[in-house]
Amino acid sequence: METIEYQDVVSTYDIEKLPISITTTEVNLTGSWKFFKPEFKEKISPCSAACPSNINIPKYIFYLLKNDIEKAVEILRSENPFPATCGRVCPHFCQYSCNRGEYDGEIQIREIEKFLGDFALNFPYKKPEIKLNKKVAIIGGGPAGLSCAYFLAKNGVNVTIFEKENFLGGLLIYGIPSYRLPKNIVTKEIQNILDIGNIEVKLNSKIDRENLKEICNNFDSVFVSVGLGKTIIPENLKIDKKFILSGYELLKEINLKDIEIKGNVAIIGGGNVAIDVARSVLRKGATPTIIYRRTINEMPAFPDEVEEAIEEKIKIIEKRIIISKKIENDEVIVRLGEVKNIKNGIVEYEKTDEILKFNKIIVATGQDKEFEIENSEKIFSGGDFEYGARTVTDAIASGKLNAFKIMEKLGLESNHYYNKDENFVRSRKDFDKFEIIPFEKINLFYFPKSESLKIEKLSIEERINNFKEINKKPSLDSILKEAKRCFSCGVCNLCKTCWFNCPDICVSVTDSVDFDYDHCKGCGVCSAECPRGLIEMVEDK
Amino acid sequence: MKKEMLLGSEAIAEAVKMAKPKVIPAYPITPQTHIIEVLSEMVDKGELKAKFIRVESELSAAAAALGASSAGVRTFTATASHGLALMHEILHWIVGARLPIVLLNGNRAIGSPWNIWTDQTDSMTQRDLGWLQLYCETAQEAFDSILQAFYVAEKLLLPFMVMIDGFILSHTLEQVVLPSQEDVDTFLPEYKPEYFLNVDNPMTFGAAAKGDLFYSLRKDIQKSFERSFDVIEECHRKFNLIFKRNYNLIENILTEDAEIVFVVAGALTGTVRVAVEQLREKGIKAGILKIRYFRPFPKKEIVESLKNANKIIVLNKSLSFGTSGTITQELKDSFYYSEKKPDIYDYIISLGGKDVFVEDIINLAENIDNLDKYKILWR
Repeated sequence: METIEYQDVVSTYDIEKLPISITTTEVNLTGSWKFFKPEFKEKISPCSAACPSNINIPKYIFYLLKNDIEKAVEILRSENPFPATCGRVCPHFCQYSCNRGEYDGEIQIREIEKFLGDFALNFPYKKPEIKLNKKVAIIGGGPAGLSCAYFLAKNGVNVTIFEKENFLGGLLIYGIPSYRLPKNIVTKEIQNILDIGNIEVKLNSKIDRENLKEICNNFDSVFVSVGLGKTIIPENLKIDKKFILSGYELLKEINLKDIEIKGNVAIIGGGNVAIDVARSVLRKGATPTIIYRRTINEMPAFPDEVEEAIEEKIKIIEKRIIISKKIENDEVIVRLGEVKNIKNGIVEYEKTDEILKFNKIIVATGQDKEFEIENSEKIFSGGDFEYGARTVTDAIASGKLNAFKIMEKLGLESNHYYNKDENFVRSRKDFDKFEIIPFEKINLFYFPKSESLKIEKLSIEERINNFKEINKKPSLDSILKEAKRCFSCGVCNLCKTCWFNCPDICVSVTDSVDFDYDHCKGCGVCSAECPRGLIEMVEDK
Repeated sequence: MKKEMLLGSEAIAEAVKMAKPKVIPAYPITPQTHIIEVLSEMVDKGELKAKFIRVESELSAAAAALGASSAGVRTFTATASHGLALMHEILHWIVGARLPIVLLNGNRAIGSPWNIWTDQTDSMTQRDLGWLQLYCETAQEAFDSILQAFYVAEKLLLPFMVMIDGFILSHTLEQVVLPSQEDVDTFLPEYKPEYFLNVDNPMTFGAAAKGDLFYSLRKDIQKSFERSFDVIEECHRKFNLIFKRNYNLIENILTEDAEIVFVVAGALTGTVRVAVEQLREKGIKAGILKIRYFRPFPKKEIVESLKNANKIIVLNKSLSFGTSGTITQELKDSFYYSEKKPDIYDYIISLGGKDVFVEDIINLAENIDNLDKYKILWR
């Protein structure tokens, strides 16, 4: 064992020596005793893995709690340019996999995202420093196309968006009712993207299979994200156009033209469009009835949307289909069949005596592609056009992924991280190891149980006759309180627990965590105590 | 100055309060629990501006005291019996680190079998640590000795252990004279060590020391003990000046002309005082040598005060199995170089709280001719 040279301290006491020295014990390189050493590795939080945009949620929460909102917004928008939108309409896959969920209630991540997103509306993006000599065409200016445009433009690529309507935003504008997503929010987020520069927009430019070829010749790459424009009306329901409409068509009419709808309206389907239509026509003063072939619990619509529809006393008829119809006195009279079994899309039913009268029938059973595209190395596709009807967040994520794929194809530097097996894409690698932190790795000692944020809504009376946003804005205090509940799984928030517990003063925490391996004895206390599973003990060779 | 009827434990708590320690880490154990209960209440009420650390064991209490004292503040703790034994390792370290902690030990037997009553085995078995040790006869003496302990400890940079007999002193009411805070402050100014844990002036405390250095540091401790007699005398002089009560290392009661002298430490002295009075009435010249300081052991003073005694009966309340009563050993050692060697009777008067009555003492003196000075004597 090394011993220190005692450099005597001088005492006025009548004592020759004190067992104190002004030199330090650092000469004892106790680090040589260890067999294991701690390694600091930032990992992946389950919320972030579940998020289609793979946003580093704990990291932006960390900056929010540090009161560095600009940095929090930067992290958030580095993965998704629509935080205010997603903070409202994303079905928060993140929250379903939140580790806190099985403890005392998941973090209301979507509310935090919405809060930051609203803040971000007034934050312009940084202008890209480079401008590259590459041109990419984007067909369809919905969430997927705009997201792709955003990631390309940010990296200096010249983008031209071809949009068939006379506005950008696609479904965000005409598909989602304003009580869920106010239009000015979307418009502002889109404007912020356009303000980055490098983006040219061509409105009223409908692209089909034919003129796509021409575009292919004029651009280095093409991204197709035109969604599902084709309406499908089942054969047995085809009647006078006056009485029947697709869900998309009706939502578009309501959102863009503010049309009048009165009387009894039947909505066929159980997806988000069906629910959106029912709730929209309710607000217009009509009486909606949803007719769905399976049970309420089997509806593919987001559960909280279904719940809100039920709260609003929208009638849902389960396990029924329309089996016959006739028009009498300007009304459609339908007879329902009770569904007994559905196998491979074929419905077995029994006729019933249930006869209902409607002024309109809305079919919300899905849309289809308007055209197919040829296989070409130049053409990429995303959004609902590529994957079928999915969420806004999925569309945004596919725009991001394809932006990086296009850049790779064009031989451009992008620094992004892509894990194909996990379908995980981040605009840059900001972790050390791809490992999703499970609940078991959280040190619960540091987390007393607490209640999660309750989201306040407009009362039913306040909301059913207008299109006001239903969810109220939580206070800053309640958002911060909720943010503080975050375990920050796998992402360091500089809590200093490792530093505090190290018996050998071998951990330093500045803007990262460092170990003094010369003196660390490898006891592992830092690893055991880390509340969020960041410190691993590895064999010291 | 005021007089109050106080339990011994309350008197000690009052003394500690007036000494103004900054940190009191403690763990309850019979019979000292009252002391730290009262102290914790004083802290709670804000009468005593100190940090009371409720630890999970005596080992932690000692360790926390070690830490607090290293940080340069006056530190007090109290314990007894098994608690003192559990502190043992840290008690050594405190000495080596030269930390003037004051510890109150409520003397109590150590099991097995289970026993909560008083004897001096717990503290006597800690005699080689390097702590100063002092035994008290009364609550007033305990009060005074706490103040003196801080004084002496801080002058010598050595820890100080004050002993009271469990229950006999701790749980009985006695009239105690309480001095004014002003007088106590004069006697015992704030403790300001030269070196202490200080992030602004980092130093190494108690790092590994090789043999040569270790040896010399231990020698320094012994030198301090040798010097302690002067410091203790200075303490007693100053104490007498301020509080008008005179103390010495030992107390002689009628030893000047005594033929038989009882040697005793602690509250048992009171019983022996009554016995000696009665023996004197019967014409037997008896006296008492009361041992206050057991460490340092005042050999010179003891031999000097026993110069006229022919027979000495040592009333031990602890025993080093295989040799003799603990005080007897120390006493015999003191006489080795003395020309006159009186007969010393090694009597184990009580263990585990076995009652001692005045008659027991009188019988001893009356039957002294039948006692065997070569053996340990039992009742």
